[in-house]
Order: sequence, then C-alpha cells, then structure tokens
Amino acid sequence: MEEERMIEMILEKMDRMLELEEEILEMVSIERKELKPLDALTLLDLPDHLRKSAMVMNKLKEATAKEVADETMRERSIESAYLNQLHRENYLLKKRDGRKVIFYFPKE
Amino acid sequence: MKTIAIHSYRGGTGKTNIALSMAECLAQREKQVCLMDFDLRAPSLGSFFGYKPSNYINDFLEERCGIEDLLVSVEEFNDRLFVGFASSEIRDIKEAMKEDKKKQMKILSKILNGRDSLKDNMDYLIFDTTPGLRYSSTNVILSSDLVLLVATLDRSDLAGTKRMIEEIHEILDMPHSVIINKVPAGVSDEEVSKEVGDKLSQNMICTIQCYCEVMSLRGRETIFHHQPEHPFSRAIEEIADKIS
Repeated sequence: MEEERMIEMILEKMDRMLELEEEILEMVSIERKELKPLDALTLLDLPDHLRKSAMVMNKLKEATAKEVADETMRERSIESAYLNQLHRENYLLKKRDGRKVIFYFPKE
Repeated sequence: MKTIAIHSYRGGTGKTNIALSMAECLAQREKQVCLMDFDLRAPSLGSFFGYKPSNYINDFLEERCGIEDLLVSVEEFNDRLFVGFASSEIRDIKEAMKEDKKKQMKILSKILNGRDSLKDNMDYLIFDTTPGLRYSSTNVILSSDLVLLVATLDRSDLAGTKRMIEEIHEILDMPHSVIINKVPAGVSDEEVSKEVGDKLSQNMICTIQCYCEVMSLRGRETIFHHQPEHPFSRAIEEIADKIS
C-alpha cells in the first residue's frame, strides 16, 4: 500500500512537471498549432491506451482527468498522463480552471 | 443495453436480412430493440418497411434532429421494435460518405452520445453497417460492444473478413463473432470450418445454409417473420441465444 501511495505521488509530481513544461511551451510559442482530428480511422492507428482516453474525450468533449478516468476505469494519474500525451501530440487542448486541469476540443 | 454492429467485408452477404431478423427475434422475446440502418451508402430498411420517415439518421448526424426524433415504432411489435432509417437521396448519401476527418470526428461523437441516450430505454441497439472499411462502418464498430461479421464461403470474402478481423477488431480488442451465411446445401459444418480456416472458425457462432425461400420474398418481409419454423429462422434464434 505504501509503495502504491509513493508511486501515485511520483506520478502526480511528474504530471505536474509535464503540465508546467506544457504551460511554458505554450507561453513561448508564437503560433498556435491546429489540432489533429480524432476521427475513427485515426483512432484505429492510436495505441490502445491512448485510444481509450480519446474515445471518452470524443464523447465528453470537455473533461478533467478524473472524469475521463471514471469512464475508462483507470487511475486518475494514469489517465492524466495519457491525456497529456494526447495534448502533446496535438489532439487535445487543455486549460486551467483554478486547481482543475480541463482537457477539451475547441468549440466551433 | 447491448450494442451490436452487423458488419461484412463486402456487400451481398445477407447482412441486412440477418440484422433485421435478429431485431425481430429479440423484440419477439419481449426485449426493447432499436435497429439503425447505418449502411449509409446503400440504405435498404426504408424500402423494406415501405416507410418514409420525417427524420433520417442523416438528419441526426447533421444535427438537424435528436436521436429520439428519428425512431419509428414498428406497429406489429407493440413499441418493442424501433427503426432508424437512412436517407436514400443521392445528395444525403454523398454528404454522409464525405471523408473529411473533422466532420467524421463530429459524427463519431454524435453516434457515441446518441447510443448513450438510448441506454435507459433499450435492451439492444443493432447497427446494420456499410460493408468494408468506411467511416460509416468504423464509427459504429467503435460504438459497439460486439461485432457480428457476416461472410459467405467466397474466397475473396473470407480473405477480406480475416483481414478485417486482424486489422480492426483485434487491434480494437473488440469482441467479434463470425456468421457464415449462404452455405451451399450439402456442405457440412466441418467442411465449412476447414474452408474458412482457423482464424474465422474459432470465432464462428453459426453457419446458415443458402435458401431460395429467403430470396423468393424479394425483400418484402423476412423469412423469420414469414416462417418462424424455417431453418433460417432457427439459425437466427440460435444466434440470439448466443449473444444474449
């Protein structure tokens, strides 16, 4: 149990580091890249772990890692890492709302 | 609610007839069933029922109506069988088959949300799909719990079905079963298993013989409805038992 708690803490800290890195990169980037669409055929090409998160995001459109984790039945910290990966690969946007990190697709 | 996509590698395998008969069979078993014609390239349920609804699946996908606005209750099933029709207007077919990734992403999201909104009222949602690897079929496969693949003993059909399993269903870890339809009379199940190879035979849940009686109805009604004791109807009952 202690080991699991430690891993959870490490994952959360890594997650926060990744978020900070993203925030800095976004601050310094001049051009905002256009998002890549997560259509059915693109989903087929994604690795399993990312596809599951992407499918839920396709449904929810805007969600926190916890909300996605509730649907995928995975740990929030793991889900957060996958959503951040999708964000880095330009499939999702993310924003902060107080302490919450929200992943989303832009509204049309 | 269980969501089932009835799919095939190519057209003419009897996929729609099986989808329709399955829907009738489950509705007869007092289940709430929704059958959706997602063969958007060549819709056929409209002409089968001789019905022209005010809203089509195409209207739902283009955000012109809600999913509940397109469902039509089939009279003789006392509100247990509902059908969603696809438009056979050429302009609607062209629109639905557009391969624009952003548009198809929106459509997938519509299907996923539409499916979820039916969860509380339906026991089964059955999608009749477009054959092959198209957006209209992949979108519903991704939205399903189980895929029933209908194939014939034709070599190219078997090879294509095997490829689809390897390149779609296994990648997606999607539960799938194979139905070998239109088997020539006199060919035993053992011979069919040998013919289709290990990959397909280990997923095979039913073989259905080719019956001229099915064709003789000329798409006016299903043999399941017309002759419940017919071997085709019994095969449908067998599939329904296995997926329930």
